[in-house]
Amino acid sequence: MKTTSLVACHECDLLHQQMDVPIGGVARCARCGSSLYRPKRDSLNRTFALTVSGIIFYVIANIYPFLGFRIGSQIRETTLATGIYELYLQQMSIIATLVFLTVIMVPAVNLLCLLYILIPLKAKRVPPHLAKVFRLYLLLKPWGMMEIFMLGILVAAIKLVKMATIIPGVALFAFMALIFVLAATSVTLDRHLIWDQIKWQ
Amino acid sequence: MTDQTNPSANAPMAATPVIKERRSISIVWLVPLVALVIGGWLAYKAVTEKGPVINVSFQSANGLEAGKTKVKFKDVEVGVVQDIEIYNDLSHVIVKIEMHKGARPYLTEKTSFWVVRARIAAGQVTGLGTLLGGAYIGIEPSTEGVFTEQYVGLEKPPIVTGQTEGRRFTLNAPRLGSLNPGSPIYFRQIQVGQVVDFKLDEEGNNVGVDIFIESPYHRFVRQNSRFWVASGLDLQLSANGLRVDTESIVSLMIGGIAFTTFSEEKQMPEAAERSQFKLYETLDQARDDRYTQKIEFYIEFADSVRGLSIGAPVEFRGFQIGTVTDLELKADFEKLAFSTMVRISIERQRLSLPEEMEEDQTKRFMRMVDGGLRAQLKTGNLLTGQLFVDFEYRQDTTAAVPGRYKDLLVLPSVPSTSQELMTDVSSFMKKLNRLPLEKIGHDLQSSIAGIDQLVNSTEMRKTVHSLERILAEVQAIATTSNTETLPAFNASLAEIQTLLRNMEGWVSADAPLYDDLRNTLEELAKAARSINELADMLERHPEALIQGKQSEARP
Repeated sequence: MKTTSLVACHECDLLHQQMDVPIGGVARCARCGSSLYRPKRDSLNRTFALTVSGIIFYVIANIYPFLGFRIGSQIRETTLATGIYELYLQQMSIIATLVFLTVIMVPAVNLLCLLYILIPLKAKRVPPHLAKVFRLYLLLKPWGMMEIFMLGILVAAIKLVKMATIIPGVALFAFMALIFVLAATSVTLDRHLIWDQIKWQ
Repeated sequence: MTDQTNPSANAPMAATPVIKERRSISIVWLVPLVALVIGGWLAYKAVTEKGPVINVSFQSANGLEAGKTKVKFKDVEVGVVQDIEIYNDLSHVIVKIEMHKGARPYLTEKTSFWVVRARIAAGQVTGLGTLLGGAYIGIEPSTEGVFTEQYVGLEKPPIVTGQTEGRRFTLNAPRLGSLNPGSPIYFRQIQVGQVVDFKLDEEGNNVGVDIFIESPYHRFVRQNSRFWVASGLDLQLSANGLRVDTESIVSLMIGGIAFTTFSEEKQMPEAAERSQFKLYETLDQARDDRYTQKIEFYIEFADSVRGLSIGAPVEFRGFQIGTVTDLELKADFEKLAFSTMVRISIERQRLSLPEEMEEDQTKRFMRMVDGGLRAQLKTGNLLTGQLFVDFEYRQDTTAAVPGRYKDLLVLPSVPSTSQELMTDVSSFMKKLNRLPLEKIGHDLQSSIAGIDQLVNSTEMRKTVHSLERILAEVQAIATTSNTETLPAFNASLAEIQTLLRNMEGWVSADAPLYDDLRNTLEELAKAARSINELADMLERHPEALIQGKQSEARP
């Protein structure tokens, strides 16, 4: 049974009483008509499942070779990490740091945050510092730029095709899967469900 | 309280049902399941496909790069370098290689590794591909022996890998010459193999050259085959003149070995793997070694042997019957008598001499010496002054007793033709010296004084005058005849010119000329001898000039 709580409209800040909405329905602002919230089916389970697969894909993407270039009989394979290290060696440490943070660091932290939140919640317990962790997750989410990195890689690879044969590695596919899985987690995760867990005085 | 009853109270006591949430597994779990399956499969593949990791030590890691350098067999990747470390004592590097899974049975003690780099050696350019693709590690797999993880890499790529069929042999040579690993081996001028390696023997006296003859040519190596150095250009300046020999242009540049089985010898069975052979320096040496039965002698020469070299031919009536094997100076400082002892070896097979005991042999040669067999130094080549030893039966010799020197029979010799000539000329000069030149001069002087008187007489002057007149007349005749005689003279000159041209043709044909020259020299010697005799006789019987030669018998 839900305790009655209030919810403010995103757009016009009109306070509404939070009410149960049937699955598939949507609560709209009485004044401006923008959507207040829509309940998500099986949110916790789905998000958790996606997070777990995200972690598997993340590991694969970071271990296996990402791209291989073949010039003549010389094959050069890179993983995500060696690519960034290579950038660093080429005196582009700022770009290297940026790529490292947005492509490796942020997704990892996001996934770990989700795990930290979801595992206890599934066991009907509230993890300590839930609010801080969830806020960190929300803060970092926009900084995960794997899609942009992917686009950059595609453009570079297409330009290199004339010079070398490009061999896509296992990690490339895992990386693409990771992008979709991470996008899916943000869809399935019901924020209100998380915030509702937090008792406030 | 009774009427207003709670409707719920009216109902019979009922328990509230326990509502269970639907606990079916959401379809979304398929996603991590798929991820897990892919991840698990990849992990399984990584574990099962992980081949053995081996350590190979090299002198240097030149061109090798961890994580990049591949191990290739027949240009197929079979492993990759994981790590390169320097060994503790800094003497070499350890290359850690992760081999592919299936490689395990081929990694035994006999397996060898080497670094393939671009190499230009021994007429071949190899590994050009590595200029672009970087060096890689070559492997020669072997299934013999037990599995091991520690290897010592070869510094040079092996020239012949175990995959090539053929046979290995070892050639023993006193020196390496211009041979190198990779130097070709020819059989009837077809390249049939290569020099694989060479090493000094323990004492350092001999070079063992390992060679590899490819199948099917290895069948032609028989137990009595002979190998010789077909190195570059074989330039020989000997008593036989100048000779240039080469096996091929490639061997001209990098040297090589040729072998054959001489057809005169009977065919022996095929030589076994790793048989030992002698490597001869030249084809001639290889051929001469067919004559295995040799008889050795010494010849004592009183004159100089300058121009006689070891290996010079020993001939009998123009046929080579042996060679000079050694030269030494025999000195007797007491008597100040010096002579050169020339050691020769006569190849019995060349003379078709029967095999016999040494004593019989000695007797046979003593008989031959009694019959007038004498050795003589002769000039084989006028241009180079190379000498050879010539045997000839001579009638004009004094009896000689063959002596012994160092347990060998010493055969007698006669002075060389040039020596004979020199002695003859010098004795002639001596006789010339003894002529009473002073008296002759004195007589001549008085004769000249008489002539002087005669010339200065008035009759003589008159005669001179008349002569002058005659000469003037002759001159007149000559001027008139000039116009007629000169053309005739010119014609004669032209004829002489053609004659000279013809003669030029005779001169350039060398062989007969040398013969003629030698004949002439001999004739000259005879002439000198005759002069000698003449002078001798004149000395004893000067009256013979006037009276003619008288019979010796009369006192």
